[in-house]
Parts: sequence; C-alpha cells; structure tokens
Amino acid sequence: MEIVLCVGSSCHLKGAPAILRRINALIADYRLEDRITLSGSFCMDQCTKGNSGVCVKVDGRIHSVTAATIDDFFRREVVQKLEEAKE
Amino acid sequence: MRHVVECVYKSLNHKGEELCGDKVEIVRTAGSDILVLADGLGSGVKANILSTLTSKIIATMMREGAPLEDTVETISSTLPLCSVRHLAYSTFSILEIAHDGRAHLVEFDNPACFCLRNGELIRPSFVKREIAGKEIHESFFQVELGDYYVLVSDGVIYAGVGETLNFGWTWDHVADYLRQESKKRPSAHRLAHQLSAACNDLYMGKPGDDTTVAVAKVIPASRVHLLASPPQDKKDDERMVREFMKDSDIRIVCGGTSGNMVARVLEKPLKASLDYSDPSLPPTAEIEGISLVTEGVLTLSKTLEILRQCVTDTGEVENLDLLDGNNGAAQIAKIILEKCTHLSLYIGQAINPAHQNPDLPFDLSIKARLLEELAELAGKLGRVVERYYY
Repeated sequence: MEIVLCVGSSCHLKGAPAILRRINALIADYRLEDRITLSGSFCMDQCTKGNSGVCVKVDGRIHSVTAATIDDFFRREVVQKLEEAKE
Repeated sequence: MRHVVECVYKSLNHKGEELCGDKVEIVRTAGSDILVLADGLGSGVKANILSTLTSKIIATMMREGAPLEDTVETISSTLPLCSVRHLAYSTFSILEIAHDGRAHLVEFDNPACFCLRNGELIRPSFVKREIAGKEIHESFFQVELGDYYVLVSDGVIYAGVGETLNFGWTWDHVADYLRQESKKRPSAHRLAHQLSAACNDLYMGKPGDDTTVAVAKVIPASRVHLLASPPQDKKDDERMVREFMKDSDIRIVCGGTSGNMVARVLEKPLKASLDYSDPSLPPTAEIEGISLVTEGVLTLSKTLEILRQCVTDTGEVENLDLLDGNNGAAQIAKIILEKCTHLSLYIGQAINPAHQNPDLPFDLSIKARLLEELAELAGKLGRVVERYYY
C-alpha cells in the first residue's frame, strides 16, 4: 500500500510534521513496515478546497487528516483496507 | 582567464567602542576589482573618520583611474591632524585585481598581505617607493584561480597581546593558521569569519584594538539560477523552465507548486523527502537535473534570516553553524554565500490561492517581497543579480 503525505507550505503549517510522526508510530504499532511505502509530495492541489487538515493520499485517493482524526483514519483507511485485501 | 574575485570582510570593534577605526571599501570597476583596507590612528570616532576618509578617497580616485602618486598625496594633504599626536595618519592597503588576472598591491604600514596559493604562502616581491613622505610597498603579480589574498589591520597580528599571548598572535603565526585553513578550500566568507572569530577568541571577546580581516578569493564564475512560483499564464510554463535551465551551474527551485511544474515540464519525477531534520521547515525534494528543490515561503523566510546576519560586516561574530544546517533554507543561503557569483531569479507571478488562506498561522502571500529582498541581499554580497518575471 502506498501512502503519500503532503509536505508543502500549507500542509506544513496545518501540522504535516506531527502527522508524519504519528503515521510512523502507527505503522510501527501495527507492524506494517513491510506492507506500506510512505513518501512525500509537494502540494496535491487541494489547498483551495477549504480543508483544515493535511493531505494524505492512500493508494491514489486523497484525504484530509488532522491530529485529532489521524488514528481513526489510519485504522479505517489503512489497517482495515489491508485486512480486507488479505481476505 | 574567466575568474571572479570574491571579497568579504569582517571587523571587530575595539572594546567599548560603537564605531570601528578600520574601514574596508570594495570597488568593482569595468576592468578590475579593488579592495581597500584603512586603519585610522587610535580608536573610536577619530579613527573612524581617518580610516573612512582614507578608504573613500582611495576607492574613489582609483575607480576613476587616478595614478597612485596623486591618490596618496591627496590623502596626505586632506586628513585632519590629531590634536593629541599632531599627526594625520591612517595606514592603508590597496589590492587591485584586473579582470585579466594582473594584480597590483600597494601597502602603507599595514601588516603585509597574506598571499596563499595551493595551501602555501607566496611572497610577491615588492619595491619600496616614497610618495608624499610615506614609504610605500608596491608589488605587481599575476593571480591564479583558488588564490586567497588576506588583508588585515594590526589588530589581527596583535590579537591577544598581554592577555592570552605575550606578544600577540604575530604575523608568522597568523600566516601558519591561514596556510592550514586555506588547504580546506574555504569560501572567502568562511575564511574571513573564521579568522575574525579566532582573533575574537584570543582577545577573549574584548578586542584591545579594532580588528579587521578582508579576504579576496579568486574563484571561477558560478551562475546560480533560482526559480520561484509558476508564471501568471500557464502557457508560459515551458518557456520559463527552459530559460531557467539554460546556462546555469547550480539550479534551485523554491516552492511546492513550482517543483511540481518543473518536474512536469522536464518529465522527471519529483521525490519529496520526509526527512524533517529541522522540524520548523518543510523537507526538501529531488528532481533529476536540479541541484536543490525546496518548499517556498517558509524556507525563503528562513534563508533571508540567515543571509541578513551574514551581510553585517561589523560587530558580533556570526554563527557559521547556521549555514551548515541540514535544511533547505540553510542550503540556499550556503549556495548564495559560498558557491555563487551570478544570481538569476526566475520569478513567476501566479497568485497561489492556497496562500490567501487567513486561517493559517503564517502569511504565505509574501513570496514576491521575499524574492525582492533576496535580490537586494545578494547584491550587497557582491553577486551580479538579474531578475526575470513571468
């Protein structure tokens, strides 16, 4: 599974560094190191859509994630999807 | 020979003084670069006036092509007499390096210029001349790429006298130090600040004399092209990137959207790193063929912060660690300070709607202003600056 985190100016100000730390921690918690490639991107052209979160792209789909929603988001969009894929 | 003379100087004031009694002038004419260092008698206001007059007169007359004799005579008959010592006195050193590499060094009572080539000291032969009652040392020689010429006021060779060292640092020991340091091929900026910091240490932070270092380094021309923001009209994307790529030695792209645009036009992938070595700044990215890709506004703001500290010639010894920081801002500052002779800015005038967001804790809509200040600072550092707008 491919996760791309935006590290452009706006997302940086909206907390990209903290989201990155949390994603890394979650990947370690769920032991998903071998199943996820995490990379960065400069701007996904979502800035004007009024989202208050940081852009995170999971397998091509763009989401807006904040520090408050990252844990739920990760379980729902990453862990669950990976389990579904296994079945 | 295609060379550029990079000139950087740094002064430490006599303890307790607001003004420096040493003065450096750097003049660039159509045919040569001229570096003048004058050290006025005494310290404080009086010394400052003497050295300012001396260096300004020399710089102005030399720029206009006046002969040395006239210049020295003008200084002798112009300087005001010191009421205590009944002397009108300021030492001076003049180093003129013509664009074809011929150098002319004129020295009056300053410590002899340190000339370094390939990590060794060279001693150009000089002739003694008397002009207006002053004994002048004059030499003619040919410079080579990589040479360092270090002019100093006597505060450098007496650094630490009576405090950390009985007789001060001395010319020979400064020469040894410079010989060692020059082997590491530092930039003029780095060498000037290192030598100045070493003097400050020997004086234990309280210089007993005005202490000035002026370094001239002969370097090859290096053209840095920096692209920031996409053009107003999307149709110009390709033209802007093409012109940005042409005739450049180092290429920097500043801004996420700009990075994406360059990657698209060049048909190369942009790989953003997730390495937050400095958590206050977004990480850098890579595009094949581009030396450095960074985020825009936040990075440039920090770059300016670093450069502003570096253009001050007097007072506090600056922290060179800032330049060596592992982040995009420091890398841009370092390129402009240490690897750049010509800076061309390719400025796109598209307005980024995302930057108009009032909810963000930082005003991102200031990029145009940051770039103007960058151009101004680079100009002060002696870079030849050009700006192109799209």
